[in-house]
Amino acid sequence: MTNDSIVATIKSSPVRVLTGDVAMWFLVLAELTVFAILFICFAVARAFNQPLFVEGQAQLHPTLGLINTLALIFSSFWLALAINYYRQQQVRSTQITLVLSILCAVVYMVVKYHEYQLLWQAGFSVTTNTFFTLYFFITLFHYLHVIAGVLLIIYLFTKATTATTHSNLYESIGVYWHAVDIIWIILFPILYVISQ
Amino acid sequence: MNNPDKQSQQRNLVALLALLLLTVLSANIRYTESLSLSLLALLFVVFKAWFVTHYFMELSHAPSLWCNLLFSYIVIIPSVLGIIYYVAR
Repeated sequence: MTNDSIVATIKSSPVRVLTGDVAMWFLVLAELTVFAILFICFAVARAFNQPLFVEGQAQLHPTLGLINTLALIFSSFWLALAINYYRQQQVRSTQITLVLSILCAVVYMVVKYHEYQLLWQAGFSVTTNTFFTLYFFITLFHYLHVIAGVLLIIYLFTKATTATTHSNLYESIGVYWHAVDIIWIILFPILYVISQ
Repeated sequence: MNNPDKQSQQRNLVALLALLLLTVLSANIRYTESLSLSLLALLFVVFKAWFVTHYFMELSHAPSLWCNLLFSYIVIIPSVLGIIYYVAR
């Protein structure tokens, strides 16, 4: 019986197990806490200067924000499928789903970069006002996490060439990537949707 | 007996469809005039984050401590944001 089949047996039983490495979960909790502080800073700053934030939000591109949200959701979905295929030792399916996950993440990166370019061309930068300082700081910080995530998924792809058992590694990186997705899920409405 | 991996894939697909639906609904909320209605987008955040944690992150069969920690996060943060937005309206 392989390690993965033992894990699969445990998962189908009533015993509750945490997927991935516990260290990764602590890292994710730390990251989520940092972003929570940033979200609250954004909301409080908005509360003190609402007209400035409403005006700033009007300069953003909601369609690009929507495309980015969908890209990250699809990327998370493909990675979750890749982990499932990896557990079943289906190398080809794992590789295909990992490539799809990477492609969706690249779509996010390209679209976000395009949005930054549009804002820079329109004369908005980190120093424009409080809204754009927070906007660029939070989204660029998230962008760095996306770059790290894409590199990690590419690393998973290089490991998916043979039917070996590294499912803990796959699950850990999956946990990180889904956390990056959750952060964007919270960011999307506060930047693009709630504009009153 | 059903294959647990097959079931997991089906659940992921359902979660994806729910996430897409909630995202499109959230995006349309932008065009409403009322702040109270636009705060619905933060309620959708709770459901979307729950789908991601419960199905993609597989917290549905994780120890309850981790489930509760993540679930608290996805409920408390949008709630705090909603309260700040509502108070400052």
